[in-house]
Amino acid sequence: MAWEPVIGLECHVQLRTRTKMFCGCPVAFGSEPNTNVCPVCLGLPGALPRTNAAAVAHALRLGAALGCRLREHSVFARKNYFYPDMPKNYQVSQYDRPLCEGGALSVTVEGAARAVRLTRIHLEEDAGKSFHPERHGDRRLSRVDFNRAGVPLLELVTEPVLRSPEECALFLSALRRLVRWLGLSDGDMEKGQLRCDANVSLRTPGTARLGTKTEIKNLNSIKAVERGLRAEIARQAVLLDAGERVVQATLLYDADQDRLAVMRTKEQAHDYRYFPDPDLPVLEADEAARTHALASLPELPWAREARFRDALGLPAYDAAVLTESRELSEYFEASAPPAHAKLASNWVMNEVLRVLKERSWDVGDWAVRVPAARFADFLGRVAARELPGPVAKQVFSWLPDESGPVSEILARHGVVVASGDDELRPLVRAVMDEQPAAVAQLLAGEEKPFGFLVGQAMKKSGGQAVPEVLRRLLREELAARSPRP
Amino acid sequence: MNDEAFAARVRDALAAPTDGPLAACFPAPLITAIVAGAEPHELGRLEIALRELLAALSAVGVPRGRQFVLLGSLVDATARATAARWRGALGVPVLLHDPLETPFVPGKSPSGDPYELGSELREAEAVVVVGPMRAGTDGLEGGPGLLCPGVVSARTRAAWESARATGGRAAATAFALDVERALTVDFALLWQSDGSLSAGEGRTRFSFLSSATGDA
Repeated sequence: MAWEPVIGLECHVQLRTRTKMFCGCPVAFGSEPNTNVCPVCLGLPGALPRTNAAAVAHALRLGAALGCRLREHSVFARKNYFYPDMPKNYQVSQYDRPLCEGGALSVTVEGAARAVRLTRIHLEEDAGKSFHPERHGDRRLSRVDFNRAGVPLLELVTEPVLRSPEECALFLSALRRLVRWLGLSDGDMEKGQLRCDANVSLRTPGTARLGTKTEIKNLNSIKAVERGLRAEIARQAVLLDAGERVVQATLLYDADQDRLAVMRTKEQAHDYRYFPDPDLPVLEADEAARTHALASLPELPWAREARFRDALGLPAYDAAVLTESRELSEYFEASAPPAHAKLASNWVMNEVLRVLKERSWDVGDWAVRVPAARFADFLGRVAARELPGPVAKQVFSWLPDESGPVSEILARHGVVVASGDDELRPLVRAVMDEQPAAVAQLLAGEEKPFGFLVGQAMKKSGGQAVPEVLRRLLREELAARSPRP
Repeated sequence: MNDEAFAARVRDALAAPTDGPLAACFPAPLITAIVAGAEPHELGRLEIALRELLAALSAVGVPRGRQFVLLGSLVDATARATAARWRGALGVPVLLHDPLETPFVPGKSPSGDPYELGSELREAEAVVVVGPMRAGTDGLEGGPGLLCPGVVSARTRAAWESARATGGRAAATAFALDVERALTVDFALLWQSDGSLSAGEGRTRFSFLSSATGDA
């Protein structure tokens, strides 16, 4: 029987702040274990938290970007549970009064835009990290590092509106692009900066009633989200086809084994005994803060992508690639010569991105070595055909490793671009003299040898001639040699 | 250039930083560490720059109660006297970096050595660097140097000196920029000897200046 998957995602975004959510401990990764801790994040008696203003500002900006309602008064609540990596035995989160509600993130599914509605976005703190079990001699030990305990997290919850693993992957890609774009997080799933749990159930197509859901945790890459969901959808379908019931549970996905395992039967919200944290005041986001959040937004990625497509005339694929990161899109815009956006797009997408991959650089690393103004100079020369193809590629290869303007680089390497008739005409004539058979064919009306002769002339020039000039001169010389009627 | 003209230039630079408005760098009342340093003959300009910066930060919503100045590089008697005087004059805490204090480690070098900075920066939610810089043909003076060796531990300073001894000023600049990458400077206010100013996002300003030397 055919079943319709109904999927909702809970995404955790580790915020890029210097200090933790409720204390001044640094958020620094790679430190010695348990060095970035204090009485507050260790939950020692008497320690009082204070809210990180930067984390609140980040949450408001994301909420504003996604069109959420930003609550003037939201409340931090204690979510009570015991686990060794949670030193306070409760997590400070938000429950019935989150900071942001509603909103949507648009994704493009098979060429059509689709708004994925959001339930809420709220702030909370991360837990520590367990390492277990490890063998120490004849003992097996678990260790806990509390450096991560208290690191600010944003939880973004979608409505159950996603219908396939592929849609979920597109949603996560769009969310990752947005949080990076806004500078809220690096959004690296492999490093745990963007984590995702998925709630999935199946129902008969066309019905409104939701089936029993399961929650899949430990989805630490977009591929794992797709594969984990596919596996769970298949598992539930087998159960339902056999007339059995799906039991509400939390499942762990093992990406290495491509296997799901039941972690625990699912708790209900009331199991956590949420209550407002008495140590934290109501979080106030006044009109000024909400207005500032909206006003501080840059042009958003989907708007820039549309502008690149509609105003610059770039193909949809180019616009999507160039707006994958804010830095890349800004570099592209700053370096693209007027009226040559496609040419600039080709160079950035094919050559610049290739160098970044080869050298493991980010756009900033490239821009430091090849500032946009310098690249614009280079592209301007290519657009004006001052640098023919092979020469342009050679000059491009020097850009990241050599300083100075393009003109200096050309002078330093003795690059002389031949574009004058006086210097190229003798060269064309010489090629024609060397290739009488090809010339005869051309004069007889065949076009095929034309490219060959242009290639020979280019070769003779050492790749430094401008091809358009060679083509024109060859036509002129052929006309001069053609028998007059 | 007299002090008034310099102050006006600082105000202009802060009013329109190169990489976007100051308010965008400080979206909330962040605890802001202002790392400052200068040779004794530049202290007058540094004081002017600090006054203007503190006022500009207050204007975008970072109250003085959340700002403090960390004086690096100068740990001699001049600096101590300066710090004592500025404590009263600037209206914010002015701290002297102590390279022998327990450090704060925001990150590591590619070879895994810890970059150790002053523990005063441990709880900072934003970091600003203020001071002079000069771009020479073989590297930078000041700029990222205000951070490293300015406010690093004795151990990291020794590593930086070793890089300088081996690879010259260019290697020392690269080392300092790598330290900056680990810490991240949110905002930099830098000036050259002719009084020209550069204000904007830290890494971009440092990188721009270092690329101008051709050593990056």
